[in-house]
Amino acid sequence: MNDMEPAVALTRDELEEGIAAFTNADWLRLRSVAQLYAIYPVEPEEMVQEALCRAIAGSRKCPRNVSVVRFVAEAIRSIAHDELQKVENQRDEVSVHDDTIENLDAITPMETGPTAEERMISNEQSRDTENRLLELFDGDDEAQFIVLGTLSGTEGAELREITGLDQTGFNSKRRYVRRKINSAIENGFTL
Amino acid sequence: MTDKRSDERRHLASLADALFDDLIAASDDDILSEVAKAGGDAAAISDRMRSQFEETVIQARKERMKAAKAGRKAAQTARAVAEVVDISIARRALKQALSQDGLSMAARNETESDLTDEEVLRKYNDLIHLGVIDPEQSDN
Repeated sequence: MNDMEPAVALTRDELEEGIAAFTNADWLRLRSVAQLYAIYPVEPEEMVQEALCRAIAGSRKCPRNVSVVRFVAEAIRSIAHDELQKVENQRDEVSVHDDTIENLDAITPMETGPTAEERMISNEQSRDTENRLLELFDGDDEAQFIVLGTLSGTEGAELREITGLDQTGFNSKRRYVRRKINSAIENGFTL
Repeated sequence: MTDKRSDERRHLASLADALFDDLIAASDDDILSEVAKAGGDAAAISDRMRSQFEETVIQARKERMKAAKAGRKAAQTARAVAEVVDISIARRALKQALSQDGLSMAARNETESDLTDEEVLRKYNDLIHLGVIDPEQSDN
């Protein structure tokens, strides 16, 4: 352990105290973050707890100059991306398995993943998530451009240009999109 | 192999990334009012999450205590094994102890050279418990 660490990062006890002092708004903010990242069948509140578990387990340190809420929010984001990476790795391994390797003993064993049937069910359940998202913004072209553009990875400046909004208008519209999605999830919409 | 759900997950994560900063920058009042407008009970939700966290902390502490206990037990076992292995020290300490005044006649009539290693260790431990042998001194 680095001698400087206690000075720059919270101890586990300090982190636990920081979390115990969360206000209602802090908890709800984290839940809203998790709502955006908890893609079906993950439950947002479970995702928050998972992030808190990892935080107090100490695998990642909370710098003193970062708010504990932000630290946990970043942990939620990190979990989502890790899970995504795992799924992509599984897919890569399946591809190698099917096409090029003849020696089956040499293949890295895959993690137990969903069966073909489970994947079909999952795909069925998730079908048209993007369309359902767009339907939330029926009649609002600017909001739909933001959703579509963001889903396809279009960056901020380019996206703003497509919408034809100035920076303030764009920020305001994006906030509206975020609120609308959080509100829809609150009422049963799943990603 | 096409996995539509996997592609979709990546797209949805991009969307979440784009909206993340706005959520972090929103004021507390905005966050509370958003939940209320969506029909959520802010206090009830927060209380539930807080309780879940407290339960998580208790579980984590239990796990840490279990791990510490297991570690201590392992260290004790290792120490006990080390004591058993050092038979020459035990035999020498027992010889000295048996020559002392104040022991019972039966004890003094025994000589450590007649005893097996197992008997030496048993008597050595017995005399430590009785305070006749000081293990710290017998190490030297």
